Amino acid sequence: MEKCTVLEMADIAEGMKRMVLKAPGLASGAEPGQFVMARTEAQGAVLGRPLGISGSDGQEGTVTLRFAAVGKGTAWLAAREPGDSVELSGPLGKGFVLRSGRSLLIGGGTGLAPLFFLKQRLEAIGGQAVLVVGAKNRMCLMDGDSLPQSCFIATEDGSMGESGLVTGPLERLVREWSFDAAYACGPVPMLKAVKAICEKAGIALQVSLETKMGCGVGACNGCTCSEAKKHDTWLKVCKDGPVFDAKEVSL
Amino acid sequence: MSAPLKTKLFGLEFKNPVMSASGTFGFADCYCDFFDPAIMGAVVVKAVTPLARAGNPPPRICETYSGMLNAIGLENPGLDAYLRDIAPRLMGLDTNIIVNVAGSTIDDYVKVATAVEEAGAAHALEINISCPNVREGCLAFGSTDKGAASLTRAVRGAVRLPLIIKLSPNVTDISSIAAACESEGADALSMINTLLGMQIDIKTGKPALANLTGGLSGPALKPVAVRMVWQAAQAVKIPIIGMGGIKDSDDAIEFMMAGASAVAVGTAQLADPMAIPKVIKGLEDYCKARGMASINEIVGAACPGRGEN
Repeated sequence: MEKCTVLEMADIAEGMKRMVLKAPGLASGAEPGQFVMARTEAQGAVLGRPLGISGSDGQEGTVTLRFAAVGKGTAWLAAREPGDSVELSGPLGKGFVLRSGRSLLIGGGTGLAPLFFLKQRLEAIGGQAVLVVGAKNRMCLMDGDSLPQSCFIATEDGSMGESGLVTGPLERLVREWSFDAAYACGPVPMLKAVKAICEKAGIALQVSLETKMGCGVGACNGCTCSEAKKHDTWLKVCKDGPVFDAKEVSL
Repeated sequence: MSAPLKTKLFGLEFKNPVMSASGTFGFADCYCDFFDPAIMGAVVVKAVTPLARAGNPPPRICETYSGMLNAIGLENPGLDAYLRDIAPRLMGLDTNIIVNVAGSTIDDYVKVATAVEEAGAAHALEINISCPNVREGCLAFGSTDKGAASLTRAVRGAVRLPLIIKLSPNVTDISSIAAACESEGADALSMINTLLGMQIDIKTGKPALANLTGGLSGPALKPVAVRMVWQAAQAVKIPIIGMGGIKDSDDAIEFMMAGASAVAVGTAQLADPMAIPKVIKGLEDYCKARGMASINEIVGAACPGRGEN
């Protein structure tokens, strides 16, 4: 558990925040796809909140979190101000396995959070990362200002980018280009559709799953989800994941 | 190691009276990045059943006000895997290993208890007659005097290892169940397991857990647990391991004053990976500040029947 000081807070979409923290311990070891458990002091809250690491700078000793205030715990976190402290434990879980070459990064809603970090690391190893982003509408697009010009955006109401689901630009991209790997994070229906497209195109896909968690370290066995089952055993999203080879999970 | 925290219970020496609560510490393999599990008086591991259990379908947990509900359903790799893959590592730790034993029938409990004893794979057994999340066994034994007595008698007849019976709060008269376990040869009681509860998602109109109901743990449970420990402490002479919502050393002290000789930390450890070391440190500081020779001095302080012994 690291006591971290909030350095910056920014509004990045409706109900969404970007939080930058001084967290040298976390920053030195964080890998894309890993998460932290954040303690909150929300009234009546007991458990930590799992948040995907959205950026990490080992030299500066900072960690970036992007998240939506969806309940009392994340609302408490969203109300922090620069100078406040937040206790984080991590980095936790298994992150993405980075592959060089040309990659597709597909994010839906708040699932975009870990992909910012992944893109940065893929480019650092000389890879080319093409970002494909889906959101309900312009207001719900996570941190649009931090998205590169080159990224493909689809909104359900067409208020930004093209109209429709993320699968629209994705299908076009896999038809026109070849990719060495794909990484996806977002709601389960999106992951299902992305998996089908990648399978058809023969692209190895890794998916990051989201679920409620108790401990974040594999102790409570509470974070199982119906998508992640191996033979007769439920996988632990916190420890066996949250990133899985798409072939390992039933989407 | 702090001298005032040393505790002797059912023939075993404990470095301190602080343990993990079964089901919240895995097989002592989850928190090693945070602290050495051997600093605890004992590691109480997940329930072990004769055969592997996959557990209940998800969702299995949800947060409630000052607590949480779980319906894990005794997921574990089974007796053989415990003995082969897990126990050798655990028994190498420099602390007591307490195996939580569960099953559907009396034979299941006897089978696990006997095999664990024969393999030297525990220092004591915690007999789980209180899991509210499985269809057979467990709570069926723990909800009546007769059920608790017959199971205790059967396991007592089969093994010599210290037997700790883990009691359920989902009963009318905890004192008589506690007394029934004692009279059948239990060496100690663990109390309490989770309180049966339910949460409904008002957006969907459906229960939040796939199992529909689950066990409530966390701070919301604490006053119930303190009351039951206090009642049982006056009904039996065997030691009690108190648990139910302990999040810091003040809570641990409260349980000890209610009559518990040791305590276990569960939900708080899930929430804060350093909760157990903090409880141990807090108890050390408490003894030091008061010049106490032993933490044992406070056991039963609120409970005349024991405190004046």
